[in-house]
Amino acid sequence: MSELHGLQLRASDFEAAGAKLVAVSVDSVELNRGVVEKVGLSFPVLSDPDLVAIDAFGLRHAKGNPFAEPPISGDIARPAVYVIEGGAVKWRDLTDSYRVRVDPDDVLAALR
Amino acid sequence: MLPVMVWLGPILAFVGVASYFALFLNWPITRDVPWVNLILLALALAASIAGLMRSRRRVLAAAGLALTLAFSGFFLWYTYVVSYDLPSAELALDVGAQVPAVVLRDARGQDVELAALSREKLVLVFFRGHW
Repeated sequence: MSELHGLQLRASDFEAAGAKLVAVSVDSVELNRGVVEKVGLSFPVLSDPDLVAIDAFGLRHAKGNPFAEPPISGDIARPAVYVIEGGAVKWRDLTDSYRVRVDPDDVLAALR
Repeated sequence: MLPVMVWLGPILAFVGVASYFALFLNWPITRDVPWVNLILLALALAASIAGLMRSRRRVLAAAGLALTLAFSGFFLWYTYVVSYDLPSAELALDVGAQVPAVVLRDARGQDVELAALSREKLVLVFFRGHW
């Protein structure tokens, strides 16, 4: 929860930099709806339960959710932040540890 | 009576682990380097060792120390081993690559085209999810 909340706190900065903010995970539309309402998110949270976008970006973390039981595979996205401009990747941050997330200031610097 | 240190150690160690997940994970300054929790665990270890040295109830004091070590070990294992267990970054889309044409649904159930969003400046955040 804290990651999306942290992004929300800086949402106006991203807007000021002329960028749209979009989040993606394997979570269902229903789960995302609950999170969006609970945290009060102003940016879209997309649902990728079949890991289509996650695979297209090469970010599949097999069995990243150790608590999943069949039929859910437990495969999830590794945390990653991409800055995209003109349809291509301009900058990216792939953390080494999922505890340690990108500094929003680094993302804003990449947008300038 | 059981010296304070004997039971204080494991309790402090438990707090040292639990408070990371319940609290300190929320702020980058206490999350990235978990210094508050490492200090709590160091104090717990000191208390347990002091308890073992002072108490005449050796078995209980040793059990307390073992519990403190177990909590501390779990925390170090999680923060410095488990959380680093991620797939290779070499597989991930790199700078300069085109954004693939993918359609996903937003929280209202509406289709969103990733490639269409990507024409302008976009910050795309992949997160682990809440499951």
